[in-house]
Amino acid sequence: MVGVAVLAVLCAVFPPFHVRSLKTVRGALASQQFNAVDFASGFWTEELLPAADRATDALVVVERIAVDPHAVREHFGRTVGVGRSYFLFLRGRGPVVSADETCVGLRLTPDGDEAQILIELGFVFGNSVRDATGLISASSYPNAQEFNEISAALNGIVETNVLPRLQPIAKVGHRIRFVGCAEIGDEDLDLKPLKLVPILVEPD
Amino acid sequence: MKTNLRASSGAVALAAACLFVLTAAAQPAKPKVAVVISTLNNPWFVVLGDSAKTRATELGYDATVFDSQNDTSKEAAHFENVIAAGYRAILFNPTDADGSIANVLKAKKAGIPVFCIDREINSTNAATAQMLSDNYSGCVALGQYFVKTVGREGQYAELLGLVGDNNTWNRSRGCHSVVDRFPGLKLVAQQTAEFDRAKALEVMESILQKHPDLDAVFCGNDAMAMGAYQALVSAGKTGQVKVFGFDGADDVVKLIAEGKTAATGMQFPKVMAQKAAEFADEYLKGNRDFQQKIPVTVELVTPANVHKYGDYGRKN
Repeated sequence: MVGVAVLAVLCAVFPPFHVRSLKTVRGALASQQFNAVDFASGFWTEELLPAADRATDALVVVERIAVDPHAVREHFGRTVGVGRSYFLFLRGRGPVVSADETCVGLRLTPDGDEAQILIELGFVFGNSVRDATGLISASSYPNAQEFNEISAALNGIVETNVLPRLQPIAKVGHRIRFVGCAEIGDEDLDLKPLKLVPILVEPD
Repeated sequence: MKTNLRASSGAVALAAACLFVLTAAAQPAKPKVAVVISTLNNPWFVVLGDSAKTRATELGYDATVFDSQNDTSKEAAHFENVIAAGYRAILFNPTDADGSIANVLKAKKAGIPVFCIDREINSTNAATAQMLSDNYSGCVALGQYFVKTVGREGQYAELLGLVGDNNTWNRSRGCHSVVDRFPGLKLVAQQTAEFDRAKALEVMESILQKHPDLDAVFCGNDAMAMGAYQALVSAGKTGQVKVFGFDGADDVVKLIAEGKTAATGMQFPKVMAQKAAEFADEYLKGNRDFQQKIPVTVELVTPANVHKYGDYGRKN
């Protein structure tokens, strides 16, 4: 009887196990996990938009494409790892020369009327926003899944915050100022026109 | 006289042989490099291992390939042997993103640099560098092509690779990041075939019985794409079900050229393996400045550009 009482006191003072609700445990685990959406949101305002000033002048790139497209990579491109593809981080301004429900075309040089920059509306895919600036490195992340989630989260910001601002001002003849990113996978297909994922668009 | 001549000729030959043996013994043995591959039961990984071995040999090393047979315990045994046998570097294609970390750390502790090829480990401070296919991005491009060719409505199945491998999920998530945006495309079956052609054949036969109206199948590698294609041939459904693979294996590239399968993502096993061997050489010559993770671009191969690809890479 005394033994049981002693055991009860010991158990009360030094409980052999703790009961925690699953909700608490899941909450604690979630707080340790990487949250790509939160990361992307902070990165967008604190690093990406402030970096816009150092984006390459898109007019200079477009003029180089016209005379020597194969030099663009060397002079303006950013490569990530090993491969033929590269990224461009661009800023510029120009009139809208085409616009429909799927894409908006801009022209930067005064001659001609074909679009030199194409901004696709709708879903945004790929890594151009994550990789074009060089502000984020794969080596900082323990696995590729987290690194890839960043791309999806940044593309989500473009879809929800940037493209809706473009649609009302994308009227043929109106001038637009933009900052954005492009991935060049195949120089024969992706330079004329440049397919841009915008991070900033506003009336010029 | 003849006897004397024979005797002196024999003595010269013996002296020459002794000199040869002594000279060979005096030459330092080539430093050894291990190439540890997850499985050699898949032609793509055979190319990966052979390319690493060939490049290491060209760089002056005695290279040996070890087959882990997709078994982490076999892989651990290889690492024990490699460390004990005095290998100077390991070119490593891991079996498991988490399970292989301990092996890499063991080699690191023994002062042996490890260079991961194609598959990553979930650590940024174990391997010296990791040369990794950009699986997610490659499958984002495949997903976009999937929607373009299958359309915005239809039924499709997915054959997953090894569930413990990050590449399995990077490929799956890359494809789903696109396809899931189109609610008319219904995933009716998702099963693992462990990157294995024979298993893919079995799994696909079973899926076809349950879902005879399937429009497409997304396979996490080309070995499974070949297995799925075989099942479609047997069922007489090659014209109905579009097959999407990943790897850039030669047999699938040929099927794309013949219009029999839809697309694949070309990884560059030779490029990755050769670079890893070159990194090991640089390390052993004193370089310690390596980026931890080096993505290797995956290129979309379709009937429109298939003529540019072959032999596990891009034609010049």
